[in-house]
Amino acid sequence: MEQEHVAGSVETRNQPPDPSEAAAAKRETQRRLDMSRGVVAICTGGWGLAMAAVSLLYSGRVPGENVMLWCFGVLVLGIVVPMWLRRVRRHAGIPVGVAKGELSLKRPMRRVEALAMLAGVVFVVASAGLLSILPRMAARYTSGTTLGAVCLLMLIPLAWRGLRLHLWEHLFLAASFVISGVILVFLRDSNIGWALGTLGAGGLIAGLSLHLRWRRWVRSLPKEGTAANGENSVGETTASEGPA
Amino acid sequence: MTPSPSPRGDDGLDPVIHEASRLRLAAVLNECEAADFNFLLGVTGFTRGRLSSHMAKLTAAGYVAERKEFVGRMPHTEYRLTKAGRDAYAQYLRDWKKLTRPRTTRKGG
Repeated sequence: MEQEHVAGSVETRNQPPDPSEAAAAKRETQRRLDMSRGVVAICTGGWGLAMAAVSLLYSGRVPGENVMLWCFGVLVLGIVVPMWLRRVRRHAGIPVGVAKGELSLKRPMRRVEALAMLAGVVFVVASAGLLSILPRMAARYTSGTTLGAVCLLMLIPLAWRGLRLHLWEHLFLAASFVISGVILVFLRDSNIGWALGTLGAGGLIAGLSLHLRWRRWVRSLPKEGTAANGENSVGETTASEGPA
Repeated sequence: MTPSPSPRGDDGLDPVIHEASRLRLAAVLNECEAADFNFLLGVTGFTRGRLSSHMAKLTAAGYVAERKEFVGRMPHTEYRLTKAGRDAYAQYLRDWKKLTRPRTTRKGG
């Protein structure tokens, strides 16, 4: 009854539907969600820079300790990033359900995201393996080309997403992957460190920019009890606001 | 009581989703699974009244689950697309594609 009252209180004219508008709304949501993922890029970029520093310290050689550090970093990122992401999203009123949804394999759409996550894990593990094995086993040219090709592959999804969602940060990240790929193709002992450094710096800059965008947008959202968006000012608050 | 599925219009499209604003809302909720009132306001740019009324219609049709709570003194409303809602949205997109697909005509057939 209450719902009927709400529906009846405001006149809504049925407008002809336009699926392109639905597509635009979907794109806008993806854009916002991508902005919230800036924290992922910040953490990964910081980790990349740390790995670059270690790698340069070891003069570009990749000893077993480096690979251990790499795997430890992945583990820490796997714990820290989801917690930070969840917190950041809760501030904008996207509840925990999103995180659950991303891990759910029941929905076809989420299956794509789960596959993307799996591909990311495979990418990291494969990179660790390649970084540790290739420079020892294969010729420099072969290992450089392989590592470079892995980086260049990342160009496609990042550039596509950047152009589609109008986020220059994705293009910037794609560019840093390309530069790293080119550096790795001309593999020398010290190049792995520089490639990691380029990736880390790219991730950090792109992540910070995305995160600032996200924060600006969250701050622009209507606050409790304001009539920022017109008509009846029903006090609504995001989950994070007010005393819990 | 589970709401019964809404009857199809003459064109075979679901009349609940066959409206520009509700279609946008369904698209947003389908993408982020659950969102609160303010997030939806920010993404869609609707007014509060417009958003409330369309969400009420989606809720009444059983396409959206609504959860209201108070955070301090302020109401907080969270919306989530139900399974019926997700199915209806996917079906709507399929139906729309079918309707708008250009029909091929065969010569001499």
